[in-house]
Amino acid sequence: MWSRLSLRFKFLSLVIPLAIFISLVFFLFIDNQLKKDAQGTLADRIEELTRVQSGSISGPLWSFNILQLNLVTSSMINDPDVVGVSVLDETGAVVAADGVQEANLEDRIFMRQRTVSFFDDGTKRDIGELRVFYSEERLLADAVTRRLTALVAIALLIGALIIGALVGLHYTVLVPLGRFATAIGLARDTDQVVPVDWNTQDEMGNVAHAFNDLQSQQKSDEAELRRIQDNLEDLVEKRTETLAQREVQLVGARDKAEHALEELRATQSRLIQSQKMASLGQLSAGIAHEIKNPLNFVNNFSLMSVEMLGELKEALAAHNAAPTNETKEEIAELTQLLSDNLEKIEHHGHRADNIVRNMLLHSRDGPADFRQAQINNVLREAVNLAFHSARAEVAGFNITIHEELDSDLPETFCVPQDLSRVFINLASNAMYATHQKTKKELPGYEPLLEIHTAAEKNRIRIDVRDNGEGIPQSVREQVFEPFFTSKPTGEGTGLGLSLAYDIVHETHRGDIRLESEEGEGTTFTVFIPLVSENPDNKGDKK
Amino acid sequence: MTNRVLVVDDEKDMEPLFRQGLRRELKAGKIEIAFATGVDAALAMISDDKAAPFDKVISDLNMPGKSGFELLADVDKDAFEIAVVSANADVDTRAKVEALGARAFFAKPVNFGEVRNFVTAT
Repeated sequence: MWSRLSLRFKFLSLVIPLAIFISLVFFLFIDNQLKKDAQGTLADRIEELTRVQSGSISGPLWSFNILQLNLVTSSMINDPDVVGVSVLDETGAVVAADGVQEANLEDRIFMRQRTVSFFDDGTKRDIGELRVFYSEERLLADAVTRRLTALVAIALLIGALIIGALVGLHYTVLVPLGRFATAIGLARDTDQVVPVDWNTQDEMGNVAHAFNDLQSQQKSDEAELRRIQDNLEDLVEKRTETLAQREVQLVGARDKAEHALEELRATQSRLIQSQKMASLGQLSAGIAHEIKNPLNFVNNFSLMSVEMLGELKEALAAHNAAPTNETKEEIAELTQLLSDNLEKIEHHGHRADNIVRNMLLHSRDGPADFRQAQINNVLREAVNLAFHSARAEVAGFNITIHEELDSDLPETFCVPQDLSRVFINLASNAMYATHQKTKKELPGYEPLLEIHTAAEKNRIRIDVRDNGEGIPQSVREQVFEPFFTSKPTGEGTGLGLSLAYDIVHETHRGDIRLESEEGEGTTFTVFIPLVSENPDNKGDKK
Repeated sequence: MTNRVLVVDDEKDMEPLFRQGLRRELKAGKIEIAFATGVDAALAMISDDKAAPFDKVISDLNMPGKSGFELLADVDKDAFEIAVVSANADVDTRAKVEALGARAFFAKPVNFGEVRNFVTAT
């Protein structure tokens, strides 16, 4: 509320009460002083009057001239301030009196008394007393008039002061403030410095000067700021442009990279296919060899069975003609042999079939199905295939294969042809490593491949251990990377272990690890989770 | 005169096969056959002084443990005639076993006519 009032009003509301208060204090002080002075003067005058008149009644009182005394008293009472006079003789009895006789303070009536003396023959004798009563009424009446006059004068003075102060305020404060307001208002809307037009040498002038300095400083700062801002905008614009160009470049680079990646993927899948084909080629020699063993039995046992059937016919004919124990035994022996032979033919025919089927499984491309399988069989067949493949490739290659397969190994859902690939790869590598070591012709060295299976808590553990050259520490991290190979150019695609890793990790959610000591051998350990339900039926077909 | 024949092959069915394939020769007493499923066993039988010496040895090449090549290299080729039976019948292998002193090479599937000639020859 207060803060909203105009400066003038604030000024007046402070100045007027203050001026009135100070004036009144002064007025009361001076009035009091004047009153005391007037009272003093009156008392002195009455004192003088009493002294003079006490002298003048000395004679009449000595002589008891009452008439004379009355004349004096009536003349005294004519004084405007005297209200009563009395003359007492030496006994205290009133001889002559006029007007008020009792001093009454409430009525502001005061008394002056003086002893009347008479010189009789040079001797001073007190003969009576003069009492004068006087009032301050007249003095007070004067004071009231004086006060009224003074108050009017004070009021006029205050009014004059206020007008003067307002004028002063107007010219010393309000006008320059108006100039300030104008200048500030103008300065706000312009870049130019708008100085406050006030050049006095006083405080207001100093403030105006300081304000002008401040304003010009601020304006130049603003100009600087605007310049910086403009620069910044320029810079931002340029940067934005550069960034846009970069983005275009990046998009181009990304497209190129994507294209390259696509090509790489295509190349990779071609390479994977060629790895399969390469390993198939490698295997086919082994398979050919492997298949000839059962074929040897199938061919020869059937051939011999045909011959034996001829012998059986003869024996039967002989027996029919003349049955003897000898012919009977011969017939029994021949039929037993024929029966055995047929079993063997069936067995080896089945064996050949398995080999061919394995080969087909190995070469088959595309996603393979999960099915329940006995990993022991998959491992045994794979190692066998790898063994014969190695022997087909390297004349005279040999290795002792030590099997330690858990006969209680549970069946699990897996992709047998994929796992077969893994095991063929591990076994082939093991054989390669032992062959490399054999070439060094170390005394007493016998190549050894150990395969081991065991059921662990939730998984099947497969170890493929060789006593070959081992894998140097420096490349152990890389062996599962695609295209990494330690074999001479043309001998390995560098995809075998990478494929094995993918098959174990991606397809089976298992793990493959390797331990190796250079010069001593390598153990690959594969973990395949025990799965009792077909993962293909769970909707996450790979 | 009876030829003592040793057949070395890891395939166990080779024994019934050879006994059937050579049953006439066996019956006629022209030959006697012994079987070994590995090179070490074969070498032990060859060097066995108590038994009569072998006249003919027929060995497989690809076997777990020691191979037929090692057998060829290890034995005294003057003591008996040695032949090889193998599924690997390529030129390189034939040349290699010939160089090691093998007198005959039987490719699997085995032709028993050839085998008969070899084992009965004196």
